[in-house]
Amino acid sequence: MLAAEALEKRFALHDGRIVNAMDGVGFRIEPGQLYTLLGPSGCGKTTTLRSIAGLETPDSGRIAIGDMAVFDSARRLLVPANRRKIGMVFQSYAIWPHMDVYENVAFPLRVSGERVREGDVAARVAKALATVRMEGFERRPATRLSGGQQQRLALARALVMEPRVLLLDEPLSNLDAKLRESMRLELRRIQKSLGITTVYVTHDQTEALAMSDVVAVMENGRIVQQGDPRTIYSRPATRFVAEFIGSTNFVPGRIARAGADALVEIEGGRLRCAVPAGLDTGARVLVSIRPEDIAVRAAGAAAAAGDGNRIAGRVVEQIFLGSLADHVIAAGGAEFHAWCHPAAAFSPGSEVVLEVDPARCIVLPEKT
Amino acid sequence: MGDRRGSLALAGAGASMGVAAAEPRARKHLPRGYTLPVALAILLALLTVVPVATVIVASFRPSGLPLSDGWTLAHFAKVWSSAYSYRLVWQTLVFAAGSTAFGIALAAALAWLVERTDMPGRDFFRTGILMPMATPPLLLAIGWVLLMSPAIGIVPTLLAPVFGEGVKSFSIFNLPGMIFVQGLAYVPTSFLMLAPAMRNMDPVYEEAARTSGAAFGQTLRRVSLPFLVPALLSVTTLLMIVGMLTFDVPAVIGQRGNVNVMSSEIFNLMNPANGLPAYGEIAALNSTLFVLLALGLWVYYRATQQSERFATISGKGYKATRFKLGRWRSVAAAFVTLYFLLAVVLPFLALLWTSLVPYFAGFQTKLLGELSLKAYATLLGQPRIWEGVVNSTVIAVVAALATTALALFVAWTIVRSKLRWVRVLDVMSMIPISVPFLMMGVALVFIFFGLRAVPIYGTVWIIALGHLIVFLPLAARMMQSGVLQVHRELEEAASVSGATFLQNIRRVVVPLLKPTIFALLIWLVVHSLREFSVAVMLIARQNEVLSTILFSLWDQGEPGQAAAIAVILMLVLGGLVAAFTGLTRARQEA
Repeated sequence: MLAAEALEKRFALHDGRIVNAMDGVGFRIEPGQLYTLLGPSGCGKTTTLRSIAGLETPDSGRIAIGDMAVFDSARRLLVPANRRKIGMVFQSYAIWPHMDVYENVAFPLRVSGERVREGDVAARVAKALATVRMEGFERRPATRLSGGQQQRLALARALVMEPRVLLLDEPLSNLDAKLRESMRLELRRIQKSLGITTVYVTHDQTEALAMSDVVAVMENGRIVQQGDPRTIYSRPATRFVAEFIGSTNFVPGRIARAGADALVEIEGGRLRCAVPAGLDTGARVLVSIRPEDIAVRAAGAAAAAGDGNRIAGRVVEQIFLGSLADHVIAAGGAEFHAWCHPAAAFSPGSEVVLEVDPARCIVLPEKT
Repeated sequence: MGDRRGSLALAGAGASMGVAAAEPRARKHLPRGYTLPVALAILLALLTVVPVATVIVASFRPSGLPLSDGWTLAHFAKVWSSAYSYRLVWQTLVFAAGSTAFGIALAAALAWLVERTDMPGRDFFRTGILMPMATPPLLLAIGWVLLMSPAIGIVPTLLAPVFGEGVKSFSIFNLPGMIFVQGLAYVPTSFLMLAPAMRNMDPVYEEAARTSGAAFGQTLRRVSLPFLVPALLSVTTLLMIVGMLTFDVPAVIGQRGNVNVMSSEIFNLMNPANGLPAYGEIAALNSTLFVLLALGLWVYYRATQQSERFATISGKGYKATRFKLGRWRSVAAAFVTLYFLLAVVLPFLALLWTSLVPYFAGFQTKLLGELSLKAYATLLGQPRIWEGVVNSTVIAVVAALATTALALFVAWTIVRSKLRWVRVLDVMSMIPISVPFLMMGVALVFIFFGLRAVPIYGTVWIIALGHLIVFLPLAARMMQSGVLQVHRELEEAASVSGATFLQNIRRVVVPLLKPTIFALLIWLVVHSLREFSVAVMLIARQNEVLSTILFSLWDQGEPGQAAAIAVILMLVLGGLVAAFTGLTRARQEA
């Protein structure tokens, strides 16, 4: 279990402006979970991770790893990084170039307060290397490893002490696309099989969605939404989250009728949507509709079954992307992107109708 | 005390976070990371601020001693009411500026030829350029006196049969002569600072200029030169500062022609023909000089800040295009060869010749039959020499180790600490660069003559301490650039792996910095062995070092024995410099 509460950290920039790297960050991670901090650069996700590691000291707040409080500003308590018993993989991997693979992995055992016998060191290094499938590389100089091998080595080193918490700082960002995909699966496999509580920092939404038990989206030093990947994707809470994760269309409108069977008035029509609590009739809103949730049909074609929203529009442009065709469609006073199977593509100029399931129309307050 | 307050707060925190009260091995700290910076700040203040303050305070004391009573401006009044003082300042500035200009012009030409042209033998020259480090200014100056002394110098006696007796009246015991020799002595340092700037200049900027239609000369003036400005500015300031405080060349060449600069005047005042030294005037002169140098230091600091910013735009992994010299290739090679002749070969041969002849009378064929190793035998038969060898060695080893260790901790703290005020450490570690070596010697005399609790006055330890202080600025700089090259995450990885601060330093930082550390150690041993200006102020009977013995033999009219020491010293230093070159090259290739 890992818990943080009310973490604050301010930096002064050179020009005197103050930046809130963490502005009341708090979370609670259950044992064995993979918890992802997701956000653009400068959102405070790395500062948060480094605060858990003890490499950065928050101005105030509390952090506990398992049953051990490691930071508590009110009590002036600060456990240094080397006593927090964590494993961490750095963005640059931080493989020590003056040691071979074996010595890199053995390092945490050698510097640990309890004297580990050489035989135990060998056994534990072998186990860690086996976990990341690096057997047989023991005597390879660290400078002669590929990017993927360095990544595995960094992971083995982080795991060798069997830490309670594993911290991963954009571990895949230095790998090429193909390798990144396979390492993603492997990381998740290892994490699950060890059942180790993990904090994962990334700016890559695909990685976050594919790997996480819980995703926390950060913006300007705050966690703006937290939840499982499906919820985060399908029910974004703010415009920022909807925009940052995946692609989406925003349609400006005004709530015509709040409540269970809500209606949002947009230019040239009305959309049936689920309106969240706290938004009343008359409020200006944005409706977020994912491009894959839009069905494009020829004008005049029979409506699909059910009570979907229908908006008339015209295809402005069609872009072939291989696995799908992206249509830019002018409709309802906005430009929509809609993704169709390439076989069912419309050419520019076609009159079309956009069909959207009301459950897929997410109403967001205009200002958040 | 802290526990009670802690346990009260614990209840609240534990409840709200669901954290049990148990926290094995957790310690209560104030914000970490203050201990080392504070300790270093105190140490650096003792090493750099206190000596300077001592001399400044002394200049306001009637007796000229820092711990005596009363205040006065009389010393300054005396110094600055004399026209001689103004001439002294003027001559110091001419000497410093002249030798800086000559040295940099020479070094820039050499660096350009070696780094950016297809001059034949450039790799050989690049390796050899450090050899002059084995010819310290003291030996270079003595070598040139032996070569150029009117009437009895080696060159006049060689040339007189050809050009007539007139050549015998040519003298180098004047400002131009001092500037010439000091300028030669500056070349290795300036080359070391300018060559990387030329080497790292990404040719893409020059290529862009050329494809924009700029001719070679225009490219050089409008694109290449502006890139070098920061490096040039920083090396100019550094050499100006050294020129104002150096004592070797003024002692050997200037004093013979009665051309004094501030450093040699301070030396003369410290060693009066009779009576006690005029401490007050010495301190007043020193304080004045220090103000001039502090200004220089400030300029230097600004300049190096800028050069570091510039350095970041240069990357690696490209090969600079080399300028084709065409038929000027042999001229260029001849020019570089001439430099080596003037800076190393000729002075060395003059010293070697002098150490072998029975009496010094320039070059005469009749002396060829009388060459012998007698001077060496006489020299090595004296216990004084062996004491000097032991003292020099002990001082060099101790000072090199201590300076390296201190520089490592200072540099690491400056680079890694998140505290804003650690820049103070940077400034304090640079102070000695603006303190004349002689003044540092005077300050240490002032301090330890009175401080009986630390009885190091008159021992080798006071000289080792002096070396530690005067070599600290360069050592700290070298270490800083070393630490900067170590990616921060390499150390953070050690930290989260459970390594303590000292384990991190010992197992990660030191091994990664090994090449820098070795190169620095050798550089320090070389410079400690050849160092003269600090030691000359600090020697008593028991702690003479080779360079001061050499100077006193020379001063007492024993050029043969002085030259013998010089030859031995040059051979030892040459070996060390070769090792240094090998190491720095290994580091560049790594």
